[in-house]
Amino acid sequence: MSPSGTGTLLRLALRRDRVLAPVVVLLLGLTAWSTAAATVALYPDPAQVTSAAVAANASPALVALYGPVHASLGSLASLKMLSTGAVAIALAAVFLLRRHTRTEEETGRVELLGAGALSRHAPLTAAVLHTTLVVLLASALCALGYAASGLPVAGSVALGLAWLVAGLAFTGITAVAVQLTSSARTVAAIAGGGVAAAYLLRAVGDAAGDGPARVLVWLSPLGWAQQVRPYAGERWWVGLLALAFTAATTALAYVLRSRRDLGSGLFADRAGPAHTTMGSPLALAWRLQRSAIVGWSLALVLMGAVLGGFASSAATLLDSPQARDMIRSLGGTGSLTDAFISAEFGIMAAVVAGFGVAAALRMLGEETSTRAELTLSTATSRWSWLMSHVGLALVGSAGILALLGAGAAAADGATRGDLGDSFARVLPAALVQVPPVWVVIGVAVLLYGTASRLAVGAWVVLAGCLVIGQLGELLALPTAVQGLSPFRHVPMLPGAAFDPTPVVALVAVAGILVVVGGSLFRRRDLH
Amino acid sequence: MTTVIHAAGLRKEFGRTRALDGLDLEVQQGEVHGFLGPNGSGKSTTIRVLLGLLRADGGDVSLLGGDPWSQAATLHRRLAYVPGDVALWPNLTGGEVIDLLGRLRGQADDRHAGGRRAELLERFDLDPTKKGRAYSKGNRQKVALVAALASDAELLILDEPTSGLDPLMEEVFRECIREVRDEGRTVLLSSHILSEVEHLCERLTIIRAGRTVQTGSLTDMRHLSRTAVDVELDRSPVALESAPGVHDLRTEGRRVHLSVDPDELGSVMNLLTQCGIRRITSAPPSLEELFMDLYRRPADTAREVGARP
Ligand SMILES: Nc1ncnc2c1ncn2[C@@H]1O[C@H](COP(=O)(O)OP(=O)(O)OP(=O)(O)O)[C@@H](O)[C@H]1O
Ligand SMILES: [Mg+2]
Repeated sequence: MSPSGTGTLLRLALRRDRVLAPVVVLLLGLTAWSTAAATVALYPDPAQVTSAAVAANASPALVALYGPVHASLGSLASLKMLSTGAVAIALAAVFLLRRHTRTEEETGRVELLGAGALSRHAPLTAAVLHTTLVVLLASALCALGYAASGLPVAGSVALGLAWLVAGLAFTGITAVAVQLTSSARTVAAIAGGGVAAAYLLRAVGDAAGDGPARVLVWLSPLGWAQQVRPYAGERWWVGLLALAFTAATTALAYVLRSRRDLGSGLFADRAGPAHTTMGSPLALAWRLQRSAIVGWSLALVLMGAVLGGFASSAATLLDSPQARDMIRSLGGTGSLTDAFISAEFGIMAAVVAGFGVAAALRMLGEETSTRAELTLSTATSRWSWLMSHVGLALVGSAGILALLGAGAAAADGATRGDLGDSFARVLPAALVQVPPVWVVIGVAVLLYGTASRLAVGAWVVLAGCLVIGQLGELLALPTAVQGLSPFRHVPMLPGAAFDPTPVVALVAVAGILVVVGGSLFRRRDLH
Repeated sequence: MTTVIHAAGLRKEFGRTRALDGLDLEVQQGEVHGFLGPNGSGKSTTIRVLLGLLRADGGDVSLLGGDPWSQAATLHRRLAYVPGDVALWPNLTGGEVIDLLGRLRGQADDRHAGGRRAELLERFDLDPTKKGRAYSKGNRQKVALVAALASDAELLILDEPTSGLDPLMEEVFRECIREVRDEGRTVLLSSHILSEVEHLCERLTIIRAGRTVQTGSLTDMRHLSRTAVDVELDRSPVALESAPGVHDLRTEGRRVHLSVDPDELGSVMNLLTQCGIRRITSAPPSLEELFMDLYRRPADTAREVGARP
């Protein structure tokens, strides 16, 4: 053991995350690689690259969403990875750093370890090193994937550097956020809000084109990632800027840490009400989940508005036969706009399934923290406890998808000047994604009901659905394997005709999974 | 007198760990029953079986006349539970948790309970407006204690409820339990604090390695344990080694130290008198010695002691 205990804690973190960390790294890395390979295959002709770039830059919505495209195949291929990919790695950094600092303090585990020879700063140092390692590996894998797809090596390394910039910057920001409040949830809200703000600054700055608001890009760590400019005259020095920022924020975190006690935040907790009218397991579940549901609802209605905003210009954007093929393979054979909506909703549905799994697995957190024991020592039956959480996950995910659809319909209707028609076509396209999301939630309930240690398997299942959805065609997976994903069975609205059979079947499967999972839960030991 | 908790031959295994190995527990209505045993002996496991959180692998168990596994929710209306390590919701205040647990228990919020709640908060010096994450271990425990004590549950199941309380609060807790007893309610109290058990419990059950090694009233248990005798004699003693009931015999010339089983105390005293007693001191067993002895002894021999009348 090193004198401060940092080494021990780092080993502990690596051990705890021996599954999680490789999954995060591989998922991010593989997504990057598949995107690179797919785009390279889409644009065999340099002329198409140029016209696609011109078309993309002509759409302010697209530029805001992803940033401007430079006229190179690499730039086109790295567009999504520079924007949403950077967001993903930033969120991974937020999640990991919080997990090994504030969450550990909140659960009292640091206190337990603190009795040993831990220095005050050891937990933070270990968590920063751990997060940096994961971010570094994912970035390296991303660079490798792009280089392996035949894109220029320098640009690929720069893309990896861009990820590193985003990941490290938010490692530093989260390190500070962790010191401010004693609640792990508030840390997530602060740091996650930071990611959202960074994305918004970058989006507004990019949408401003050459206007004065352009400077906003430089206020955003996600803007820096983009300003590394992979495949378009790489700016390596931006990496140094990010490094300096990370060093400064981390140093600030250490200073703040010295000024607070273990377990508390820099800002004291506010007092709350001494009484409550809450009196049912459902009311408790809602209280525990409401901020997550509200947050997701807001995010998804915005996402819907952005998607709907440029759905009608999708036809001009995707100006290559291969691109059309890809959208059609994901989104059906209707008009390209319809196919685009269907494809994007399919992707968003998997994201909402992530919410659903997290909401259902709130039960796991309640059980491992022994709070479930307290609740279930009252007249609350196991069935009503489980159904409260699961019901909220089911209704919540359906509501969030409805809001996604409503946001998209409103924006599309405003663009085309026909609100009624947009709602009639776009809203059902979002709602048709509810049954497969419910099936994934059902799988989570079944696994959790069988044994609490199996519950995390729900994330593996969801990751599997994502891989099938994103890479199924690319890897030419057999139809039978692709059929394992419930998302594959949904009618591709609005382009395709509505076929109720698979929808009803999926709802029935979800119902069976929930009921069987609930019954198993009633029969098992609570730990 | 009715039996509130009855467990016989209770068995529970976790993988290869045998947590309960034929445990017996009998709690009568209106008593404060102490539940003791070394770390890992199975106290919490027993309590979790009683609460229907775990299903026993074997043995009989009944709680308030019902089956704790299949009738858990119904039975829970009539009991209140305080875990040893209380985890609260980080963003709920202590007051909210107290109200919530009361309502989930199916308790009507009448004025009486409200008054008791306020009084208990005052006595335990607990601020109900703090968020769960801001409470210390002891204060988290107080939240669960107030919730349990404010209820009108006829049975309180407390698993090391005072492990985080300071001495002042420990005293408040003892008063509250005495009041609960005076109201005729039943308490199962698992504890490592001997003085607490000595002050509160009429009867107790001691377990080791998942088995009951001793059960009965404290007075009975004192009677069951050996008396230490230190005696100076006129003549060197004879035949003491072979005398029944004599243990730990040490002879230094005419000075003799020994400990005697309670049943044989009379006959051993006779033997000693025959050798002429010059000076004698005898120490009644302290509670600590009694427990240490029971905790340390191998499970089977302890079981024999437990089998005595
Ligand atoms: N969920 C579980 N999984 C595996 N083993 C368990 C589990 N719960 C308890 N055990 C084991 O069962 C045994 C009894 O544990 P229990 O918690 O009942 O002891 P205890 O008497 O309450 O101890 P303490 O005085 O330390 O609270 C221990 O060996 C423990 O390791
Ligand atoms: Mg215990």
